Amino acid sequence: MIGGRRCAAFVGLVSLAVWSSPVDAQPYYYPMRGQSPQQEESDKGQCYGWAVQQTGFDPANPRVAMPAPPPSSYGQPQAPQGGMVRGAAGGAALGAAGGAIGGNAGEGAAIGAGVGVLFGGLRRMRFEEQEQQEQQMQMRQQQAYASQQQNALAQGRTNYERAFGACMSGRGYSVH
Amino acid sequence: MSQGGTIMSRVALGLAVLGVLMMAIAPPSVRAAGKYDGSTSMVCAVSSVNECIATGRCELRTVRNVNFPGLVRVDVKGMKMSDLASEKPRESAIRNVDHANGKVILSGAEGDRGWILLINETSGTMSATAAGDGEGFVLFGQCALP
Repeated sequence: MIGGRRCAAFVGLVSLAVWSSPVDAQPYYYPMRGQSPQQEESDKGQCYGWAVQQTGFDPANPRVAMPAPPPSSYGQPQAPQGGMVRGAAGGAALGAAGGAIGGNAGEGAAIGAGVGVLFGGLRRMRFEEQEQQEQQMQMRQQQAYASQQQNALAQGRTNYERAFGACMSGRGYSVH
Repeated sequence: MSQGGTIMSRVALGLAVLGVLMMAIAPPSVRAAGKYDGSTSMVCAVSSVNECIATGRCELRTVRNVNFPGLVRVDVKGMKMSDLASEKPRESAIRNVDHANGKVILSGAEGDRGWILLINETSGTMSATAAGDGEGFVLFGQCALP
């Protein structure tokens, strides 16, 4: 549940980054050869297709090739550290001395599958501060990812506009 | 000569009786001194476990949490420790045995961890540590002679 909420927040963050990316003032195209408005629209359409083909960026569907976003896995169970560990250990009583021991001996049978050592099989637990550090690290990674995506989109848009401008210029329009 | 020998015999007998009497009336802790010295195998129960990390923070765990058996057989002569609570044997080889100030100190290494287990030879109280990279476990318990 928490992970889902955080994931939604992350998607929102990325979306915000995408849609709030700075859109420079639209260039103007002046028909230097007296082209009609219909011709201009036709030229723009053809230049649009050419620029998309050249740059791989479609302003109508702005996407960039990015690696998968970092996982937002905190809040979910983590695999125990130390690959040797599997289950949980049980204990039993040893007279008065062992009265404080939790668990039971029967459960111990389930543990240690493939684990042949005592101290080497000790399993580390997660400390609260470690979890906080991991959450902060994941947040930073997600923010960095969103920033990279925003930069990539801006770069794609710039490339597209350059290509589009070149095309229009080649067809007899002055671009400003 | 025979009278002197008789006196000597009586003195020796008196000393022997005195010794037995002293042993009989001595407090149990004195009588039991050294019985947990590893000459016979022991069964040790872990009563508390603490896990510590490099920041200095430690948290109380249970044997269940940290996947450590609640009962461990300590066989100093056989140079091994084994899990009594599991059907699948878990063992630790004891690499070193030391005796110092009434304590038997066992140590070994497994994987990327080293460990030390100390038993009070008189009381059987047990303390153990297992240290890894940026981590440490401290265990306390009590040993008994089965």
